[in-house]
Amino acid sequence: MKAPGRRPWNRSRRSRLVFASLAATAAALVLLNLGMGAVPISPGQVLGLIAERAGLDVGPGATAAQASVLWSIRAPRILLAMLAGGGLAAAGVGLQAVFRNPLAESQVIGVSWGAAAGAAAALAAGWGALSPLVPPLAGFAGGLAAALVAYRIARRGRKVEVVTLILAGVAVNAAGAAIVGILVNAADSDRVGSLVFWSLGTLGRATWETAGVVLLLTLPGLALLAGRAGELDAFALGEDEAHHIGVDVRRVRFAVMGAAALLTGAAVAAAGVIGFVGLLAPHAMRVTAGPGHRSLTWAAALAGASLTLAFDLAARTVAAPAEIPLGVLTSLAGAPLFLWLLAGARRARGGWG
Amino acid sequence: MSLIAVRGLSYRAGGRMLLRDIDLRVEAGSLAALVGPNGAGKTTLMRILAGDLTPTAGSVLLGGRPATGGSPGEMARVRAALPQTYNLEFGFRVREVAALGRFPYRRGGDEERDRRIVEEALADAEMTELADRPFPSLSAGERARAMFARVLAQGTPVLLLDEPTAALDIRHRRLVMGLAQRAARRGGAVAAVVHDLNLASEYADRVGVMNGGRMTAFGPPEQILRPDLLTETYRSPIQVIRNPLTGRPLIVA
Repeated sequence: MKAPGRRPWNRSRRSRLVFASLAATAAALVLLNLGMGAVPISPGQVLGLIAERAGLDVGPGATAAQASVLWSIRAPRILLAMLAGGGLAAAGVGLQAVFRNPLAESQVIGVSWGAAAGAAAALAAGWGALSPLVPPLAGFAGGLAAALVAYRIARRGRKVEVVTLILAGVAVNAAGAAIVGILVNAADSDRVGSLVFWSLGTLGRATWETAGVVLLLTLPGLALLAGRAGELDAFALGEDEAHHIGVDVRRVRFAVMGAAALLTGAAVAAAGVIGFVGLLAPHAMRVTAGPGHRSLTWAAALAGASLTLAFDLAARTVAAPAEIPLGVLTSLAGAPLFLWLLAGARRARGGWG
Repeated sequence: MSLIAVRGLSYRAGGRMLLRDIDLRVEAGSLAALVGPNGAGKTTLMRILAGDLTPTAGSVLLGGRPATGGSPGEMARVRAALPQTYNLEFGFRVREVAALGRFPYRRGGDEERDRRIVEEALADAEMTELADRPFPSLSAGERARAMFARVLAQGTPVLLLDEPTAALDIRHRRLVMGLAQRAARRGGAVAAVVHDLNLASEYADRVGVMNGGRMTAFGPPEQILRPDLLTETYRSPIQVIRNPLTGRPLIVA
């Protein structure tokens, strides 16, 4: 990870503190998620099983069933949660920067349901059998198409009207959800349930393979966003001002929309629509780590990973043995924040006019 | 050498001619103040110079390059622009805002040098003490100086300043105009929209009068800041006397 505080120079101590807390939180949540569930595994047993993998024989023993649950069910699910949550949070950071608004997020501007339509279409056509990369790439294509439609409608010269962008996102989301609905309807009756559950957002289908595919697509998306930290900072000045200091505004915007679509496509194809993580994590990190993108992108990714772990733990345990769809929980928490930010933005601007 | 060279510039938008046949040359070492009534086209001209708008006709060269031709990075090392209005999204600190002026030099840049230049720019704009404050917490005048520090940090030969003094008290008006003049004296070319005619008189080497989308007069302050010309331009009676301390024209009404 890039050393924070390379330039603005006054952030490094605070940054180190924020990253240390984020790492500690993530580690604690990983242990909780590994241990809690229908088959309980004590923290000592969890650590023992991890040590065993590293070739050490320490700690209280665990049964073969516990080991199997931990390594083939919970561990890949945790990896997928962190990648999907981290990716969605980073995508939110990027979209919020280039559209100069804290409300811009994959689900808000239509990327999520565009990606869901793309991934569902690939799954319905049976292309998932060709390669496990096909559904997430179809999700990427659907998400990017959705972002481009919303952007074209909201664009005026170098600027983007955020209210129009969000309204266009509403329509794009509706179209995407309708496509998913049609595909669900056309699916075999024994698959309808799982498709519906997927579309609500769930990590229940996680395997090492799905997590591996998401990892493969999430890393380049994160790298692209992290490599544009300076450009993302520059957007805060305004589109024209960013151009004045040398930012190719159009190109950076397309690159960021592409990265956001890639991250969202990967997450949605594997785990359905997990809304508002891209709103919650960046907002919380802007307050604690500051708005500079050299730190913010990574901080939000870590926070998004932890947040998704926490929500998934709740999804699995609150109504056990039943499972609440993860996307339902994140929306429950994210929607009020969205409304609160919306009210604040409206006040600051004296209404949308 | 004319660092700013505008020839036969016209700009049409929404079926209206906002600028007509404008010629403007600002030499290296010179500060040109643009004055004129509201709606004369001053900001439109500044935005064309900055590359925000593409002219309908005519040519604009900054440091010999077309204003809208080069790559954004290349032009960012030629000219810096202070816009009339700005709206910073997210709570960046003043030092972070000023440091954005070094963005054009990020590749192969010397970090220690960038850091020194930013601190100098903050000190010049008298913003050192406020450098760790979040930009949104500043007063209008402090924001203007933070943005000005960002422009200074960019260190370009051409400075385009659209009403750099509008929000400032008298001390900071002089400070900012003095810094703009210093940038010119060091071999740069500065074009600044100024509403305070006495600031134009004291600090400008050339004054351009704009009215109805045209450049109606251009020359040294003592030739341009005349009561007849100003009274006609502003359609309001204006008297001019000689400032006994500086010898420059002093506009008294």
